[in-house]
Amino acid sequence: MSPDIHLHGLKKSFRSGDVITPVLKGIDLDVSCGEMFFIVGPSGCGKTTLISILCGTLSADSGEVMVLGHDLRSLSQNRVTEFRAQNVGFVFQQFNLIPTLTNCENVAIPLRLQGKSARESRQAAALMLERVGLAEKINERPNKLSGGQQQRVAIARALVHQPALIVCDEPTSALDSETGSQVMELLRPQSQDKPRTVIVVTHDPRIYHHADRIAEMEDGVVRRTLSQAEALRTFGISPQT
Amino acid sequence: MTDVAVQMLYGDRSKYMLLISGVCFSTVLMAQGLAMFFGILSFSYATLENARAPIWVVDPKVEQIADNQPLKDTDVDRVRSVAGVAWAVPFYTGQTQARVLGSGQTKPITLVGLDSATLAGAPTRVVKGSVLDLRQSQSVVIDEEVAARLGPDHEHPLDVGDVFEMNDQRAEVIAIVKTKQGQGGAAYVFTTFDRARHYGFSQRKMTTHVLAGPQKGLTDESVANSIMAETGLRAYTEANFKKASSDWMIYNSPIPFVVGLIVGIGFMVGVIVAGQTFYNFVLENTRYLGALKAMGASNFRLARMTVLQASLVGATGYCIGMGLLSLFFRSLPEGKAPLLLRWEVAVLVFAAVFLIIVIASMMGIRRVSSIDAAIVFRS
Repeated sequence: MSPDIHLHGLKKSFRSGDVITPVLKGIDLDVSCGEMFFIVGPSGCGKTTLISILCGTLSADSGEVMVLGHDLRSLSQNRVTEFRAQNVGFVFQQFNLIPTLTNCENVAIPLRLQGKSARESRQAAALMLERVGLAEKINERPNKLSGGQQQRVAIARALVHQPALIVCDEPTSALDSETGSQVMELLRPQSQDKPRTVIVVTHDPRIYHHADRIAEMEDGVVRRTLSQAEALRTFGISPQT
Repeated sequence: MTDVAVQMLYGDRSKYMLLISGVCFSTVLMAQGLAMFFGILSFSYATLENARAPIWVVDPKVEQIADNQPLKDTDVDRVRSVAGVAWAVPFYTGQTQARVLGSGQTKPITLVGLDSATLAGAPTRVVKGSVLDLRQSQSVVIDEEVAARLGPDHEHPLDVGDVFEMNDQRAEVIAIVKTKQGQGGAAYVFTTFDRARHYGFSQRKMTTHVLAGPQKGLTDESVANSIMAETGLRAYTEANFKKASSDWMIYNSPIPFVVGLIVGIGFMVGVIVAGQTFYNFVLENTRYLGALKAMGASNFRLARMTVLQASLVGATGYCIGMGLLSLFFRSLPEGKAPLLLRWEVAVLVFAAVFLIIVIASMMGIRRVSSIDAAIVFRS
């Protein structure tokens, strides 16, 4: 079976004036369908650039970028945008919930972008908010919620359209370890869900035990890819953490 | 996504109020400038609205109603003899001084002499008394402005039965009427043509205009053309004379420049305040617009949302601005201020606000298009 994500020889540089800074120097990576895949590494190693490329918000300079059977480098900008709307859910470090919308309206956005009606989208959003334990906060605005609750709203927004790929950027960095753990549990597919691949960029070793595999990046390359057990051993983390 | 765009706009009340107040202020500035323009223009043809007649015959050199070139007395008969003319009467208008009885103080007035047989051109908005009583000796009809100016004090304007003097001749008020204000705050005294000879400054030829009407079935335009062709005089229809008077004012006074300046400043205020505030609104929402872009909102969709938001701001600001101005104008005494809120004002200001919104939208769209969706991954 072909992997959900196949990256090969991926390179990306940024230019600032005459200075060209290579950020990704040849990434090879395969992520299978349904995997919870973590990308870890020090700041500036290229993690954010890598997830930006694999969800199509940034284009690579060279290499193969196959995501959910789509060659993102060959798609037009409009098709990539459409691809994201249909297939990708996002959980951002800073939540990025629109403060003037209610939680329900925020969660409904991906469905609205898919062309669903406001009513249908809100119904689905309300169900999803119930599922993440925020049934009583449906009509409140995000700024009335705690950080953990806001991140749960963001997760509901990422899941509501049942995307095949979820991209999370430091989803627990602003949360305590218990809330962070709850947030990660929400991302793991339940039996009734469609299979989904979850890519998590994180610095937070407290959540490493949620990963199926972990890719460790350093200086623009994937230094090694570890299974959960190998990662826990390598980083000296207890599975119960 | 229109509901999302609307919510993003309405959700932050203070920003929304700031946005619409910019457009509102600009609307008020531009609309009052244009209303003043039309108001001053309407003053230029006030006599035409106070003394109504289908056709006005004047000296060939006359370009506007306030230009009083005397005609020969025989010109009235020449006009009457033109085929298609149903009636023609002499008409006089000129400036003179009225003396307030008891004080010896004089006030400038516009004297109008009407044909005594027909009283053609007599004012129609009578407040008190009867215009038909003009046939009595020494009688005059005055407008409310004259009544106020010649009264003993502001609380006691002249009334029917009161007396004042013009050119040392006694004049008794037999009716008070409403008139449209003319240039320089002109106030009107109506009397018969013959009596105007005594009240006005003495001159050999008193007829300044000949008022005429077409026979049934003929248009004012065609009869005016016939009069011009047969008499060599200039004949205007009422509408054409109004236009000629307005045009004269436009080309021979600094009013268009002054008004243009006011409207221009209003427009610039609109562009700068509304445009800049709207741009800031987009700028402050960059992160959220970036998130929408990352989640699959195309540039086109975000541009549509931006245009919708700008249009809502423009429409609301415009309606509030025009509404406030309209209420303010209504609160002013009728006909006193040179302000005329005509439909052309509403259309022109709407067009200007539309342009402001287009500029604001373009600034917003430019910003939205340049947002990098990957911004959402940067802390």
